[in-house]
Amino acid sequence: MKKYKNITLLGLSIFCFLATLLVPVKISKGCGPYDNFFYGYSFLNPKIVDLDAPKARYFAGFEKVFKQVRPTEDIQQKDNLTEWQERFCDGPRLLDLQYVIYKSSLTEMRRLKTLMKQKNGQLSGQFANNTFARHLLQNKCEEAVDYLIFAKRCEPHVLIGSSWKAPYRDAVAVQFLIKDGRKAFKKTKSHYFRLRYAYQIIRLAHYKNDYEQTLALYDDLMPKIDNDPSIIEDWILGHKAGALIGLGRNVEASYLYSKIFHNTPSKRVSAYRSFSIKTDEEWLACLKLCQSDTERATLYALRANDPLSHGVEEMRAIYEIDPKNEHLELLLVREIQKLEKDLLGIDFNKKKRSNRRFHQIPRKGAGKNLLDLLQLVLKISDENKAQTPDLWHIAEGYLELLGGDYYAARKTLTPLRGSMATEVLEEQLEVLIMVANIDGLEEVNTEMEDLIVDYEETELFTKYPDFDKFVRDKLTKLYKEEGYHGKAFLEEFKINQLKYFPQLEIIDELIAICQKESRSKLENEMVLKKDGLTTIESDLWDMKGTYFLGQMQLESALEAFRKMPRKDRDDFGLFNPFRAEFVDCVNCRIIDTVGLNKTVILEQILELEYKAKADMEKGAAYYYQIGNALYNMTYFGYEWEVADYFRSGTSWGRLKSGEAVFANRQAPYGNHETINCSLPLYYYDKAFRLAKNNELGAKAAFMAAKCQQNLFYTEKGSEYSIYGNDIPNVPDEYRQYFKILKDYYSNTTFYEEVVEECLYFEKYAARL
Amino acid sequence: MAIKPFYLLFFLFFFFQSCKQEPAKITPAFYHWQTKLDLSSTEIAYLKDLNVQKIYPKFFDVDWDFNAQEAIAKATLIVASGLSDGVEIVPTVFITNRTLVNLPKEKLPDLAEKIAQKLLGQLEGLSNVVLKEIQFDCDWSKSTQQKYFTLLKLLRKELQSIEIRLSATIRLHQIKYVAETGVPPVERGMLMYYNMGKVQEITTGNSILDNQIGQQYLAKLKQYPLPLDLALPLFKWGVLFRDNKMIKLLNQLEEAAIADQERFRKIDKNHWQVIKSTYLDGVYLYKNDEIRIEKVVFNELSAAAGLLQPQLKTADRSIVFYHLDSMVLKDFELEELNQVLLKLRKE
Repeated sequence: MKKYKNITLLGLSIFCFLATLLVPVKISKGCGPYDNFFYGYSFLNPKIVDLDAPKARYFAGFEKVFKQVRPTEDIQQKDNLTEWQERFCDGPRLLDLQYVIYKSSLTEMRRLKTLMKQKNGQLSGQFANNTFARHLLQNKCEEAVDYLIFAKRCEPHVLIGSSWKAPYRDAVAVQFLIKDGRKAFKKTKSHYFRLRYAYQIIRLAHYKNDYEQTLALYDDLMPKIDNDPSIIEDWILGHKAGALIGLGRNVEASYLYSKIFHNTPSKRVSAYRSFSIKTDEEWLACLKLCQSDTERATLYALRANDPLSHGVEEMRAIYEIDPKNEHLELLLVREIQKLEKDLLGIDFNKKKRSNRRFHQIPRKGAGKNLLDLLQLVLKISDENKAQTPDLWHIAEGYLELLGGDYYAARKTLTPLRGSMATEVLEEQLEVLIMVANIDGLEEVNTEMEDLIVDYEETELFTKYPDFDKFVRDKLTKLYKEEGYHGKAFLEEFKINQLKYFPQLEIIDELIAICQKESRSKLENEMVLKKDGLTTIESDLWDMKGTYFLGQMQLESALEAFRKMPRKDRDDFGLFNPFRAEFVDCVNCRIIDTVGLNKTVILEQILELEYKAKADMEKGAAYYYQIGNALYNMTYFGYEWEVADYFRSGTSWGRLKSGEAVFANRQAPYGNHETINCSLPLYYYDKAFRLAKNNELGAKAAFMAAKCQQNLFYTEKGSEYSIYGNDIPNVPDEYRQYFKILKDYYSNTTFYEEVVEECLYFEKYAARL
Repeated sequence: MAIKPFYLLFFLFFFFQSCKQEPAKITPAFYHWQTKLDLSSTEIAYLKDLNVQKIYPKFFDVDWDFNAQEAIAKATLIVASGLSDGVEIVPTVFITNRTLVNLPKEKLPDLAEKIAQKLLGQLEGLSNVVLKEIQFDCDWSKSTQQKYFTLLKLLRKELQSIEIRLSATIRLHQIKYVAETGVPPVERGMLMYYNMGKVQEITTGNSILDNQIGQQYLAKLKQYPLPLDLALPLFKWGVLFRDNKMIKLLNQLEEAAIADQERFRKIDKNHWQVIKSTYLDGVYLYKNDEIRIEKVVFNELSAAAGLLQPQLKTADRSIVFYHLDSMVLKDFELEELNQVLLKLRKE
């Protein structure tokens, strides 16, 4: 009784869980294409039920049943050949049987019959080394050969044909064959071959759509056969059922199909497809035809087989009829798998919104379905009458877990350790205890983190691949809730994904972990490199410095880079951004033998600024160099990699949004581009104002003009379009330096060159 | 020199006469969408009284077999009772979009040949009918457009021996988004003025015919580059929802079939809840399933005709009711269908 009371509490917790689905979640703003596959976790091992059981694949793999099964013909052929082999004392090889039965010609079979009548007949051709043909000849198996000849004669009349062209049926020839078959049936002594004749004859009648004759033949021939059990009986039943359908006797047909479904793997697919009950009355009538509880249970199992069914109703019925029925446990696994998809980890599943939108998961009634199933499982678990009681005990704990009651789940599952009937069940139990422990984690601490690493080191963690994402998603949520954004980031993403737009809060937290004297095992996993000794601290300092460079905060950037050990500084790239480039070309890096690391570049810039202030004569040249270095580090320059890790060409089209961060599927915080040219402009302006050399002044004015043009491109609402080859119509306020170049430096050599090189300026200069 | 009043009057008379158009010539017709063409007396009476001389029987479906990984023909038409001499038939082939999604493009010629051969084979037994057109019905998408249009071109080649025109069904969204979905390479289109709502959503009122939705698609109708015939719905269905998810359509479901209060509870004017698990025409319904009945009523159909008439530019067009089945027809009086036709004839 106590357990039943718990259901109410469990219901409340389930609804609380479902309510969390209403809370909006942040989703990636990346630009498609999106894959909308279902995202969830599964820890139920289908092997906990007997997957070798004849019906297993219809239940455990319920959703893809018809996609997964081998072609029916293959199964049917294999079953048939196996039976022939058994009947001939396992003598003939399967391949030889296959040749004689399915590939040989009527002529070959007739020749074999002729050889049988000769004293020293010798096999030739394909039959020469055929073990089955040899067996038939040596043992004078005339009835077998006669039957095979008859079967070969029937073949052309029972071809299924393709959906594009129905086969031609010669009704007269078929009727003759039926007559011949009946004669052969009468004179055949072997009941096994009688059965096979009956099959051929009944099939012929069915295929010529003479349903009355099909039934009449069945009723006439079958009582005259006293055979050992054979798959052929169910093949014959299939034709009888088909004839009954043809005559509108749906209930009887469905009953026969249920028998075939239960007994014959080779006909299972067609039997399932043909089983068709239209009304409640037909259902009751079909139940009445059943001769045993197993048959009745099979009817319920067939009805529950629809992947969209609510199997609990049928499970309840099967349990009442036949508690040890094998269908019951297969259905249990299927129903738990559905609930697993609905409920496991729904408070931290990172794709719950797309699951709901594209898959309608969790189902609206998932909570109620869970309660229904749990109620039945508790009953079966208590009564101990099922085939595998341990399975029901485990199911009870898992359903409690799926309902969000980790305490009850652990209480149910933990005492079962060591008592399971099989190793698979014991393993399943252990897995579910792990899941309960992970799902039930409530706070971040060293013990928790060590527990996770201990789990990660188990074989089960690798064997059940969903553990990885389950743990990551759970920890991401937990870390976020407690303000550990760095750890949360590393659970959700790879450290390199932070490079698209480094986040100071995350970097600082991770640097602090790197610098900790004593880290938890999980923290070690997070910050140690593959060598297991060095941390990612230098990478983080580089990211921090690069972030500041992207913001053009030079002093802060230098401070960050200087925190990195000197020996590591060259590892993050060597550059030479001081070269003047008058035409933008982002892929025109020249690998210089004297490349500088980022720290040195910044030190040189700051030194140049100091020198510019100290030496007014050369100040213009120094400022010009600083301008070049800074310009070349922007999105538009050839050394953009100094201040950024990732540059997207598609950002060009989005510059006029006025933003510097653009959506990217790989970038959790978007992709930051160093597009602001204000600082280089500041230094070029200074250079041009201080320049006493007209050539230098012209160069500085031209580069300042480029900075100004870029500022126009990146201003919010800019009318600049990247499409077409038109010269952009840049407002005069962004053409001040072009004007200066034109008004004051038109007599310089640089002016002459730049008019040649730069189409934009050429057009501007040509203006009146 | 002043124009004499007589000449002016004469001129004006002819001017206005020339502006006045003849009423549209319409040809009433029916789709036949069952697998056995065996017309009942009711169906024959409707054909006769509406003066229907044209039928669009579906000859077969083309679908994708996931097991065999190939296109297959399904639901092949069996003509049981002879069609009257001289009746025009437009054999129609329904091609599922998933066939085109899955079929490699190099297999298109093979599929075109199979479809054509099957069609020709079926036509062999129908020598007494008039054949001018063959129609292909496919809800193609942007991703399958190219394959579908190629298939149509290949079918034209395969069928050139019988000198017929090809037509294709056109959904409303294919009118509205013509730039994206393209125009099929055929002589005529059949505008399907139905299935316009989101049937899979539980909040939808009537996905078969909703003129408020329908008229949103009609603005570009006159610009559509193909001459258009018009298909109007007469059918109804039940939409079965389980756990808020649409799982099945129950064709021609009548309210009477779910009137049993022991098994069904009416929630509102077109929603029912299953209160006791039960079979309904071969489908097992579970307790708490929901059914939405959607049907077409005369007033809506007439309103649709009123909305469509000014938007249709083709003067000579077929108006095809979907579909010819006494279970469908019993919801409509002959006079009602006549009124709809009349409304579409007016200019």
